[in-house]
Amino acid sequence: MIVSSQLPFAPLVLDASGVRHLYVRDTADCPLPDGCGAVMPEIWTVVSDATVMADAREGEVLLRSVTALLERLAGRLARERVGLRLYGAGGASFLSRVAIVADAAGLATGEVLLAPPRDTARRVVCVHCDTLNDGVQADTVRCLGCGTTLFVREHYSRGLGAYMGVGEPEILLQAMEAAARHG
Amino acid sequence: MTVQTSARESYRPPYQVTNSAETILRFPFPFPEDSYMYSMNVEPHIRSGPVAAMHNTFDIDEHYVAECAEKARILQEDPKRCIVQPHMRAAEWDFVELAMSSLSDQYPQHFSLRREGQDWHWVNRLLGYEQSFVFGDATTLPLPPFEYMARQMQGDFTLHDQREDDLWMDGGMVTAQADWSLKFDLGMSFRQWHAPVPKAAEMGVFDRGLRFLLMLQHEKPVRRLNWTMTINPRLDTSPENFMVWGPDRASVTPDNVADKVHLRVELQTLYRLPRSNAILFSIRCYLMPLRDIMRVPKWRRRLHRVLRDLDPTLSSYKGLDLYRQTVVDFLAPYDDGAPLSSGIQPEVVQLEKALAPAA
Ligand code: HEM
Repeated sequence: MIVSSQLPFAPLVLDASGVRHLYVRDTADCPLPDGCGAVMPEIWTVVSDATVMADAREGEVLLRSVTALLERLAGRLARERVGLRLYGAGGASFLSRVAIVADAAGLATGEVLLAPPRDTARRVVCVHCDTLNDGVQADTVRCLGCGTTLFVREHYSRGLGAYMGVGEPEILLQAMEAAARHG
Repeated sequence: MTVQTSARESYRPPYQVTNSAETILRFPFPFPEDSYMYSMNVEPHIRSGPVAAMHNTFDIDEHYVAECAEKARILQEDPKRCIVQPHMRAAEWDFVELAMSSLSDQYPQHFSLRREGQDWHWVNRLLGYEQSFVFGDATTLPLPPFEYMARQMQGDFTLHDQREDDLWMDGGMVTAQADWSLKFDLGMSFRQWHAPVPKAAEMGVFDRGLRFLLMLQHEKPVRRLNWTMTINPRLDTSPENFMVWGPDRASVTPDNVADKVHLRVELQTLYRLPRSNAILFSIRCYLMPLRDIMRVPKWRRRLHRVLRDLDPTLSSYKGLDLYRQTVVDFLAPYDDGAPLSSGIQPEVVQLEKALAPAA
C-alpha cells in the first residue's frame, strides 16, 4: 500500500483507454511517453523565450513560461470532457503545479499521469506563516516570509503542491545535540 | 458531571488548569496492557464503558467553558483552523443535528432543542446562547452551520467525504491537535493524511481501519483511544505554533516533572452522517498531569511500564525523546512490579492522597 502522501510518479506510458492525450513538459528535453507512434499526444512545451507564438498548427505548442503553460492548461481543462489523459514531465515544482491545475479542473485519479521528476528541488510551505518557498534543494530552508529555518517533513500536500516546513526551536536543537553527544 | 460556568482556567501561560477527583477518575487512560503498540483498536461507541468519559455521545466535563473560550481565541488568531469545502454543506447540517440532538438529550440541564418542522430553537445555557433558526437555511445562523456548532463543543472535529473507496479530509475545526495541520491536510485521502505515522502502515492498521470505516453505518458509531504527551496543559500543540510551544519539551526536570508532563489522550469517535453519507471524526482531548495519574495505583504502575518499554520509533514520532527518561525515572519507585488487571478501568472508587515526593 502507498504509505506516502507524495504525488504518484511513474514512467509515462500512453494509456490506451484514453480518447485524447495531452502531454505537457517544462523543457523540450523530456522524452515522449512510451507507446507514442500510431497515436500521438498533443504536446505543449515550455521554451522560455518571449518571441515564440503558441501556435497549435505545428503539432507542438511552444509556451513562453511555465506560468503561461499552466494558465493555458487551466482554460483547456475547463472545456474538456471525459476521455482526456494528461501527461506531465519536468521538474518537481512544475509537476506539483500541473497536479493543482488538474485537480482544480476535476480530473480523477488515473486521468493524470506524472513522470518521475527530473530534479529534487521541492516546494516547501511554511506551516507557521503560509509562505511558499520554491526550489528547495536541501532538507532545510530559511523561510522567505518569517525567517524561520524550516525542516522539511516527508509530508506532501497535493492541494498546496508543497511539502510541510516546520521550524525547530533553538533550545531543542541544542538539547538534542547534547543528548546525542552523551549517547 | 459538574460543569463550571466561568472560565477561570488558562490553557496558555500562566497555565491554570486543575482536575477534580471526579475528572481524574473518569479519565480515559489509554493503556489496557503493560505495553503499547499500534493496533486496530476500534470498538462500538455505546453509552457505557470502563470510564465515564465514554458514557455520552459527546463528552462534556468541568473544563467545557474554558475549552470553548480557548477555542474561540485560537480561531480568532488563526481563522484557518476552521475550513469546510463547499461540497460538504449537507454534512454540516448533519453535524448540527447530531450535536444538538444528542447534547440536549444527554445534558438537558445545559442544552435544549425545540424542533417544529424546520423551525429549530437552540439553547446553550453554559455559554449563554439562544438561537432560533431554520434547519437547512444557513442565512438564519450567525455563522456557517458547522462552525456555529463546533465552537460550542469540546474537542476537534473533521468531516470526510466518501468517494473512490476512500475518505477525504474535506473540512474541520482543529484547534487542540497533537501536531498536525488541517490547512495542510485538507483534501487528502485517508492514507495520505496518515503518511507521517511510522510502522502502522506496514502493520496493515490503516488498510484495515479504512476498510472498516468505509462500511460504517448510521447510528452505529465507533471509538478508539490515541495518546501522546504534552508539556504543560496546552490544548494548542499545532505545528502552526510549534515555535511557541516546542521549547517546553526542553524544560522538564526531576523537580517539575509531575506537574509539567501531561498524558494527552484523544477519545476519537466516528459517525456516519445520514444525509450526506459523510463521516464525522470527533477528537476529544484530555490532558492529565502525572501528579493526578499518580493517585490511581494501577495507572501509575502501568504508565511506568509502557513508557519504559516504548518502541523508540513511536517515542520519537510522538516527540517524547527529550523527557521520556526523566518521566520513567520519576515513576519507577512507585511501581512494585505487581501484576495489573487488563483493561483501562482504574480499579478504585477513591483516589489515593496526592503523593509526597519519593524518598
Ligand atoms: C476519519 C478517521 C481518521 C482521521 C481523520 C485520522 C486522522 C489522523 C491524523 C491527522 C493523524 C496525525 C498524522 C500526522 O502525524 O500528521 C493520525 C494519526 C494516527 N492515526 Fe488516524 N485518523 C483516523 C482514523 C484512524 C483509524 C481508524 C486508525 C486505526 C485503526 C488510526 C490510526 C492512527 C494512528 C496509529 C496514528 C498515529 C498516532 C500517534 O502515534 O500519535 N486513525 N490520524
